[in-house]
Amino acid sequence: MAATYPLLFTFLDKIEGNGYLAEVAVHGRLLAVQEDEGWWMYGVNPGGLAASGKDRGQAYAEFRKTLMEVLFDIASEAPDFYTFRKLATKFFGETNEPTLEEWESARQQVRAGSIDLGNMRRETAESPRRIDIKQKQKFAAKGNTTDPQAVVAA
Amino acid sequence: MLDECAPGWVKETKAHHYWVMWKDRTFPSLPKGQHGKKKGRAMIEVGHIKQMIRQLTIDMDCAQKHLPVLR
Repeated sequence: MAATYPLLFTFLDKIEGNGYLAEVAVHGRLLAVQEDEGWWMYGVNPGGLAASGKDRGQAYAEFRKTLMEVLFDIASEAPDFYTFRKLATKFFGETNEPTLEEWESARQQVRAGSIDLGNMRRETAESPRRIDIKQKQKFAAKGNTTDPQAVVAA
Repeated sequence: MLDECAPGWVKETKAHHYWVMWKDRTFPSLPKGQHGKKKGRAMIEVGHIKQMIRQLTIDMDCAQKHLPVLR
């Protein structure tokens, strides 16, 4: 049976749209699956994503890239910031229910100690999953950020 | 598979991906590459199809009839 890991992730980025710059923070969850030929990352929120790689890091990077490309596609068609925010929020909110069931099952295994987490950090809190989208009006160097590391939900 | 298991499905071509829609659900990340096996880095892989079926709530038994690789 393939090893599965319930991950929580945060992606922070800025997206250029038609006449605006949006600051986006995606606080999502995904199921990481180790298979014979490599790793797959399946989205729970947002649920319409899957990406693979030879190792976990590559699959995670590919997942991030795919998610950003979906947001770029939304931005290219949205005529204004408010439409972009509405469509991106809808995209994030479409939970993949079958993948969520597997994610919850994997989380139970983490709690039971039956999944080897290696050096990955655990997060036990029920942190809310959401997408935050703000229109950038002011610009300063302190607004530059990098993604926090993904954690295992426990 | 989609014609049989998700009648009325719609595909839209975007800049980065195909968006596949059915019954108010959207899978917006189907790669635009060729179908095929993973060797040679074919762009659409079984994992994409599997996740699309789940996301669109397509009946898995129906999908497996058309794509035995999903079993």
